[in-house]
Amino acid sequence: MAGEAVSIKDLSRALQTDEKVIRETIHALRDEYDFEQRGFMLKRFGDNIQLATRPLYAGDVIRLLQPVQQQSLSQAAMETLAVVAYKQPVTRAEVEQIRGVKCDYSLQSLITKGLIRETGRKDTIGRPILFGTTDEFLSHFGLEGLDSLPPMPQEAESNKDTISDDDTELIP
Amino acid sequence: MINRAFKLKDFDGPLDLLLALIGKAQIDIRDIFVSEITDQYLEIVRNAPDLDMDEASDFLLMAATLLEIKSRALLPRPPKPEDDIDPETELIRRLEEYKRFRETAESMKEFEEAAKRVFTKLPEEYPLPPREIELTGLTLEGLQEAFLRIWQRRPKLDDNPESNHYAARNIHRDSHTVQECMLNLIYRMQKKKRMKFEEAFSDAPTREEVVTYFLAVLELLRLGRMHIRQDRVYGGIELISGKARNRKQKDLVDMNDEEVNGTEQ
Repeated sequence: MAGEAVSIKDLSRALQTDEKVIRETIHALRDEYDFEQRGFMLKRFGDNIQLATRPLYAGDVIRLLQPVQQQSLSQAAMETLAVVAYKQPVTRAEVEQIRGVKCDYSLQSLITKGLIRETGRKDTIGRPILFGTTDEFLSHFGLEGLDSLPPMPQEAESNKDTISDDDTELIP
Repeated sequence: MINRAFKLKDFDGPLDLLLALIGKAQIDIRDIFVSEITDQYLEIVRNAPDLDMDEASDFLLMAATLLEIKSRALLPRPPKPEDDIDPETELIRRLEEYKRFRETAESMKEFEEAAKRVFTKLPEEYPLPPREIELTGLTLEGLQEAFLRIWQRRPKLDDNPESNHYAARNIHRDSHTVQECMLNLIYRMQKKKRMKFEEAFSDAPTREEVVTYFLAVLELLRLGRMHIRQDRVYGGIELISGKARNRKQKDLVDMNDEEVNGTEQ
């Protein structure tokens, strides 16, 4: 009924059922919808579930609804977002180090779009703000969770690296 | 010269530019210092027209770093142990890291495109049944007291509008409208290019008449049909037909308007 995404917690409360049971049911429903290639499917991102159309039928949906075209992110925004996504939690200075440019505008823009958010402060001098991605980020990219992020291209072996320690956090 | 094709403003930052130069020369990132890439970079920065400090500072920092690396290569190695971070390897590492993130951003873009084919609904709005509100603390005595209070406060029977706010009064139609006054002024100023504000209305004007004429003057000022002069604060106002020709003739009101709009005449 909701239309928008519903969190598993809310579902559990509304249906007065255990979260574990909810998850299992969702799993079963998804399998059924997928098996029958139904027009709709259950989209999951983070701990949220939403009813959505199946990409298979995207052409039909577009013809029917002519929905508002979604804007894609710019190159700079995408790069900034990639850094935050793969290295979160990360400070603005760290992002700027990697990209080699100042990132105030990109970061602010991503915050406004709801794709990243402040997740706390780093325990170093100046206590800089840390950034991380949001559930909306997952939704926008069709990811179920952060582990669904595509792996980064491998580094060349010759690099002895400070970076490799951080990398192993997210690369499966 | 390769440099003509590369303009600083086309690039997102020094790493972006360096990678482009490396790509164009088709060499490995690790060979950056044995090639002419750094010289090309420095040349591009040197030749960039009118560097905007905000945007260029990153490029300049990189230029300085490259020069430092080059000069270190020219000098004999110091006998003491090397710094932990050798700027040359550090730069190469940064370039490779940046390149990886660029490629990752590309693949994320593909995900974004795919996700666009999944459509969802916006949050539904439904008319919910009205919330049940529970009222507490209601008693008959409370109701009586409230009524008594209102009753005691009611205005005395008094028809005079001056003393009784609630007494009936007549509402008059405006004797003058701003429209009429504007037309009047325009008509009269066609004959007489300048006039005093006081001349606009009759000898014994009502307050309403004066105020309406004043509003008419303001409107005509705004439309540029006239301008005014006032030599001192609270002094007489002179109405002059047409737009002011130079700044000296302008009234303070005009000037503030311009300053607010940010235009110069």
